[in-house]
Amino acid sequence: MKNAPDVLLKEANTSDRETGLWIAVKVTDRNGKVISRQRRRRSRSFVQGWNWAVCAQFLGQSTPSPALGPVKNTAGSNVNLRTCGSPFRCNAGAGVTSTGIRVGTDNTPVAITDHALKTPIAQGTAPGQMEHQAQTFTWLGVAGNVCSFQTERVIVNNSGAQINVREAAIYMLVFYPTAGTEICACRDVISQDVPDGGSVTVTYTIRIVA
Amino acid sequence: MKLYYEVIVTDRHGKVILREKRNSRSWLVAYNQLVYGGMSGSGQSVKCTDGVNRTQSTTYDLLLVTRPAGYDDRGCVVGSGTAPVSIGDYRLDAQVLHGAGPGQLQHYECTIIYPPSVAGSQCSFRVKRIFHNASGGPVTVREIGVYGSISNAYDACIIRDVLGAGAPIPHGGAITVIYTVRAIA
Repeated sequence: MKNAPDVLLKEANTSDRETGLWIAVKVTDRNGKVISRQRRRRSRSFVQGWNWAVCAQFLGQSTPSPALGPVKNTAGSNVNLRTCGSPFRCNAGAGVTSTGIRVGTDNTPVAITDHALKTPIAQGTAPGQMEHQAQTFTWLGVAGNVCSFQTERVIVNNSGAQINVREAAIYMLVFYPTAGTEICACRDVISQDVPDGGSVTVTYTIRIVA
Repeated sequence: MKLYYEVIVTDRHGKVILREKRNSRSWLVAYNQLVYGGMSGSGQSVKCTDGVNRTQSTTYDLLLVTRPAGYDDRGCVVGSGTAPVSIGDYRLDAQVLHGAGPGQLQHYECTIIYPPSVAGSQCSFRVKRIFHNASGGPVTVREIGVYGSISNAYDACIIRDVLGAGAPIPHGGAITVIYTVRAIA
């Protein structure tokens, strides 16, 4: 399938004045040449997990009463949340897939109740797998009435064949009463084909506008 | 993520005399810094409500907003200032403090109305606080906001709004401030 062209630039420019979440995607070949780019556009959305995590922090209780839940973690299990000792944490290291930016192969439209990627791509070099690099963060600061930061992850395809990436998400750490678990903060449907030896770079920008 | 506010002013008999419901003007820099610090694990230097920059916690006590009655240093807060919202605001322009003295309002508990509810493509929860006027005279609220913790000892202003019109609260009356935090898919 042909990769998506540069699209939605106009939309990005016109809605840059809004508070929200943004996504950009770049695909390179084995030589590092950019072969496809989805310019920054508004992310389809934070999903309910993000709001649950913010709510848990605002509430700030280690044993909320009534319970703060149930909400599904990325494994699909119902958990009750509490204030987190690693709030929103998604600074995944190389090879880590429990948190951080993830990609998948399913293009089912985003729903507010999404709790995970529909078909996540596993870590590795076997067929259908990709190698996850460490997630990075960049504080962009304040410009005029806009304040933003970015988080980015490079995911490399050394599987021996092309992988068609169709979804992206951020998994982050939350606490439930007895331990940590992971929750899906946002999900987007994208369309990028990553050749063997190439990579996909997903960049999310969180922006507030006064 | 969308943010809305609603203010409801009642007289001493509980009759609603003013209601305003709008899109919130803004989250502020401190909010984004606290989220960034949490996500990355790298603590940011955040300007607290006393104007001093301090390094945020990246573990516990981050973005705590609930607060018992009687405290005006965290949770929903109100003020009488009218300075336009700037993204770098670190406190209200002129905060109304807790108490029953002239120009003061009694701060009730700041609560979170949870769990987040899903309706259609939206997921929402609310932050609520009531302020009662026992000052003996009217108190006019012109600005509202939310102070959240950056650590176990300090707070920063994470939301601020200037009301469309001043909300005069008669003696014996009250103002209820409700923020709705909403994710929309």
